[in-house]
Amino acid sequence: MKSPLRRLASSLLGLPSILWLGLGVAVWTSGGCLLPQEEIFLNEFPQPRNRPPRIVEQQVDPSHRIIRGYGSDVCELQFSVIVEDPDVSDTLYVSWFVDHDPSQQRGADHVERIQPNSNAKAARDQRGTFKPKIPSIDFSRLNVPGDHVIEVIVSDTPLVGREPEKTPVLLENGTELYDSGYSATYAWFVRTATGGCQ
Amino acid sequence: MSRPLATGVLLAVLVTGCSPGYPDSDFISCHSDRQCGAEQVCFPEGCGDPGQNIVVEVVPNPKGGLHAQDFRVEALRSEQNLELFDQALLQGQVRVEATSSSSIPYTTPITLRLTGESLLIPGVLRRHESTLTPENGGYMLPVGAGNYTVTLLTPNTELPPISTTRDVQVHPGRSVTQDFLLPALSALVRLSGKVVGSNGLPLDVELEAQALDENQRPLSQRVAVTRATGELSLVLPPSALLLPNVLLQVVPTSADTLVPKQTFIVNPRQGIQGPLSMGDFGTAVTVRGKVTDQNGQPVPQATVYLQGKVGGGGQYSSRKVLTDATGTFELPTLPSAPDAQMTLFAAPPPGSAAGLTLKPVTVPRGGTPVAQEVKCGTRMKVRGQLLLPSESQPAPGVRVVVESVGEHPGWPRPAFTVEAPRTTDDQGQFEIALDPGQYRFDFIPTDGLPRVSRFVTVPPGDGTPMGGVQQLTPFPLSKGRRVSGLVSISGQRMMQPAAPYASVRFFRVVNVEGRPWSLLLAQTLTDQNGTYSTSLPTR
Repeated sequence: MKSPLRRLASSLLGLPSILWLGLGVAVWTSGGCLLPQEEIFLNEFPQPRNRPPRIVEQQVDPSHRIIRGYGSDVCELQFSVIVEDPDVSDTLYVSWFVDHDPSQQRGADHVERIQPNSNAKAARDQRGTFKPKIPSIDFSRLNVPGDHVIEVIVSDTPLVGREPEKTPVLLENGTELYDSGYSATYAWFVRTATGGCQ
Repeated sequence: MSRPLATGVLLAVLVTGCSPGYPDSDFISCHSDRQCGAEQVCFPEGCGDPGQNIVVEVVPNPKGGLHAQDFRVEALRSEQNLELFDQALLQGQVRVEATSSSSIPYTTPITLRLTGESLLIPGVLRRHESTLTPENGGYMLPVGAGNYTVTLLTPNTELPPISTTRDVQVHPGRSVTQDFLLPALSALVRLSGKVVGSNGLPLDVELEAQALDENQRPLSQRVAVTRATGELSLVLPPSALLLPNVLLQVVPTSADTLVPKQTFIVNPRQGIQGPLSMGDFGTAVTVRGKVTDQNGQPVPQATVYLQGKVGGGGQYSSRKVLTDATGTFELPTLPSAPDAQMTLFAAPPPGSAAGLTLKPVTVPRGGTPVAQEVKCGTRMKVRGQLLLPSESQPAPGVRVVVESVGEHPGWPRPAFTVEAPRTTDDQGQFEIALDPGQYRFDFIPTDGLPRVSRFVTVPPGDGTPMGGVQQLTPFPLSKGRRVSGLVSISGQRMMQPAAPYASVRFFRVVNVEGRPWSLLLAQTLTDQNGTYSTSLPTR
């Protein structure tokens, strides 16, 4: 005479294979509710960290850093940078400074916003450009005869002074952190002369 | 009447009946693609085939010596691979005359400066500058394709600059030879003189002098005038002796130096006769004032400067200053000439409702501060509405960038580039306040549609405190087609299956009133694999 356990075993073993499969699926799906899981598998993906933008240095225009003859031989200049940011949805800020003096804080001479691309590419189609010209009715420190430094700062938050603005980030656990933002810079030297362009 | 025809007539009646009746004179010949032929798009200069007249500029890696190459694209395809040539080179020999019949290689550093524009894309400026040391007199410089004037400068101011007398045309992948022959030191023309004030004494300020031909092209290097003595020495090429006269220009090196620009006419065969007097231009005067708008409110950050003739015949342009938060400014200047007035310019910043204002002023001698109040006119508000290509919905979030392309009669050319403070709103509407002038409006969507441009002439404000409103005809953006491809280099000296991070720009090049003209259609950058993708207008 078979014991009750043996009877159960033999009846289960006698089930068709499709029923075994159904039983397995039921155990597997209910396991999420019945069996404790490692928390690491249940948490949402962590908030992605901000990543820095970059100036595509091989494409900066002019490609040479020292420019002479502005105002005498050349009346119009164009500075441009192409930027990329792996955070494709970030708005980027391109701030142009002429002769920045740390002892006399003032805002940028020209600021542009670069919107995300529609195609989610890291390299932005829109370029940051600065176009000084002589003669011009614009106020431009670059048009004053003498030696000048032109700097461009590309940042992923608006600049406060010359630093990217810190933005608060609220984590899942309620902790508040500050994303300090990132920036990249490039510079040219320009000698402006009085002469043919006036 | 058949049903489709009846529906069409009804729609036409409804559309024309509901049209707000905007003037058609805002734009040249068309404002919408629908006004053009079946395969055409409305461009700023009129209707045109979007697949024709396209020139693409590729700049692979300027830092690595791979500069711009331009190509005509006869029939633009959706998959448009771009095969580049080798780098273009400017090369040649630099020699210096030893005797009348022989020369020797020049082996000390030189600076080569190329200024010009693209051969195929009018208005696209190209510039190269490099300091190098010729090897046994030979030099080689990678440059972009273009039409250039080449100038050779030496650090030695005893040698005059040498410029090419005809344009140097550089085509993609080609090498162009340009030799330079520096004159022997003994053959150079020397002009020496002394710059003085009206009292016959040196001015004791920083000045520079340069000799120019009648077309304002430099014949000498720019040299410093000795501050203590006023003496100058210029070196000109022997060919200067063939000119009846040369212009000798003396300028201050700093805008803070209150000295005018003076131009003297000198016969190069006779040399400088007597002292070069800068004339009786007077002493410094301070002009103080306030810039306000039509409502009497101060205009901060306005640019203020003075320009005009001063005593002694010189031309003077003051430094530019910005008004402070209360609209006030203080401008050091020279007094105006006894028989002429100077012009005071007050240019409010972009975004201000106050407009550019020119005011004739007399700045008397005597050193007493002068007060000048400037009440600015009001800029014209240019308003418009952008629609999506279907024309049934507005196009929000579009950037509006305005570039000056010409002046309005009687007005100076406006500021170079201005961007509307906001993108188009939910109704596709935009507004920007502008000074009188001719402008190109570029509308740049961010949702994958191609950029669209229009020319607009902005008249002066109507003189009222409100300044007037110029309402543009609503018009739609164009539909876009994706164009993508691979950029590679297939030259004889260089083979590169992919050109990563290459700049790619598409231009439309047409003749407008007999003159070649270009319009930027799209710009992008290749990815790490050398492929690009962009959106161009289509029907």
